[in-house]
Amino acid sequence: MKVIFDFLLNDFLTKPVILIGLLICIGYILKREKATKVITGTISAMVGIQMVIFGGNQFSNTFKPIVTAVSAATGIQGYIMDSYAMKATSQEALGDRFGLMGYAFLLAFAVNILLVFFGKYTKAKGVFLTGNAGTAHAQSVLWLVLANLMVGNAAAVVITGVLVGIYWAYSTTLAAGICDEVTGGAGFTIGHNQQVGLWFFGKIAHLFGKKEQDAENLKLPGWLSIFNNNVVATCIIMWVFVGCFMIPLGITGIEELSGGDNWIVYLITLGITFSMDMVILLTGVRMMCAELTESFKGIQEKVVPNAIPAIDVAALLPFSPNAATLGFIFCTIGTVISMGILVLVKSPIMVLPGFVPLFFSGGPVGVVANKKGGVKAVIVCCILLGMIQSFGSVWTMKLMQYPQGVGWSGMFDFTTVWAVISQIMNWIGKFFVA
Amino acid sequence: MKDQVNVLFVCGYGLGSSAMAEMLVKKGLVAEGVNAEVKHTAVGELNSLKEWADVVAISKKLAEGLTFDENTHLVEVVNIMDGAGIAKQIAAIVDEFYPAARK
Repeated sequence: MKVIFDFLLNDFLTKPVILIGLLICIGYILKREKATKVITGTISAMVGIQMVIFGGNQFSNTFKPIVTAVSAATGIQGYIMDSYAMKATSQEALGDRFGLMGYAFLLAFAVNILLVFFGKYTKAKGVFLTGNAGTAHAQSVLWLVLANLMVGNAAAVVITGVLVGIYWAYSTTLAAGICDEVTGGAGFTIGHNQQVGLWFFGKIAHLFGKKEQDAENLKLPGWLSIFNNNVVATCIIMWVFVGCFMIPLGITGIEELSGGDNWIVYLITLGITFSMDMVILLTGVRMMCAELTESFKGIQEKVVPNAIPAIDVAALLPFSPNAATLGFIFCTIGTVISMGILVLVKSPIMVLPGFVPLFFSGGPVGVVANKKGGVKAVIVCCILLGMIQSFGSVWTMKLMQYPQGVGWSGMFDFTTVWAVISQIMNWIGKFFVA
Repeated sequence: MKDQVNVLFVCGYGLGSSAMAEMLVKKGLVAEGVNAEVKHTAVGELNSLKEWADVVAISKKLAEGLTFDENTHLVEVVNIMDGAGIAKQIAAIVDEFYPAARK
């Protein structure tokens, strides 16, 4: 008996892929799916989890040698700001505790539903349905709680579930008004990584321009459409930013890093590899979350039918495509300005943007700003957004408690709201230890 | 004669909004009595499913610069939560080109 128990506790249940796989399996059984469906669904999801872990490690392995070399040459520590960097770092930091993320995630959803169920008293209306972003929140906040508050695993899962659930309920409710305005009452709000930012820029955008100067009346050059392609855009952005980051190494330094390959060949391959890492991660997340959205939407319709569904931010972009493209461009410009400032003040930390914070924060903030203040507001708000995200990221890199990590999210909410929460947790943790 | 249409939803990352649209439109297609298989993907990975798709549902912005086979029918998506409306657009295409796929 003891042998079986030991096996379960020490070997079986410590592996993330089994811990989360079990959860998914129970989910299918509770949904009264057929046995074949339980088996195929569970195994596919487990392959997805394994792929996410693999992709995350791959992402870190691609970037870490570069960071080490640049750090040795200049003393500057480089980090990537991107949702997928946050995934990679928190997975690595959590190690075998990564599996607990599934439990924190479910608890967060329960807290969110509960807050909306008692909406009469709590004023919460939004239900977070975006599985891909939600799992990232659960795992990264779990790490922040463990590292800053220094509590046990069970307590960390509960604290994470409650914090993330509250964030989901209220950030999505905050953004509901501006989403309604942009979509002409389409009946959804955003549940992603920048909904507090959408609310914030919705409040201030009218100060910077007139909404009659609509970005949709402009004609944008056609070649910009290559940035619609995630695989291509990731590669190009990594070429540019990681390439510039490596300038201090010089050609000899880069060729040392490449192990003898020509520096041009090495740089070209590097961008391609980053893009491949992202496709692996995306495929894994897709397999892991395949039916999550459907299940969660089903639960929401049953328990809180009048709630506002909070969905992926990309849903806003078709309502104002030009503003989305301009938002991406000016968010990138704001980020480059910030990086320039970091170089000028000789910051020991340098942040390099990935595609996600530029496109999926810049785009939707552009859409919101255009609605409230036209094209001038898009320019001002998105440059400001790029700067907030960059300097917020420098702050977050210090708070993520894992200096050897590849980076952290550069999205608005994670560089503002969650940075403040992490800082507070850090103070509380220090207070109790001291 | 094809008695099933293949519908593909395309979004930026192939994770959130195309999955949500797929789910809502599936319900709408059942209501319309259209026999369809529905999948979703990202723009960057579209090529691997181009052959498979009869109908591609995509936003105007993302469709810019893409080319499709002349037999592929495009449906423009604005509000991804409008499952019934998108399903009606697809049903109209099915009636015209794949009548056997509609009950």
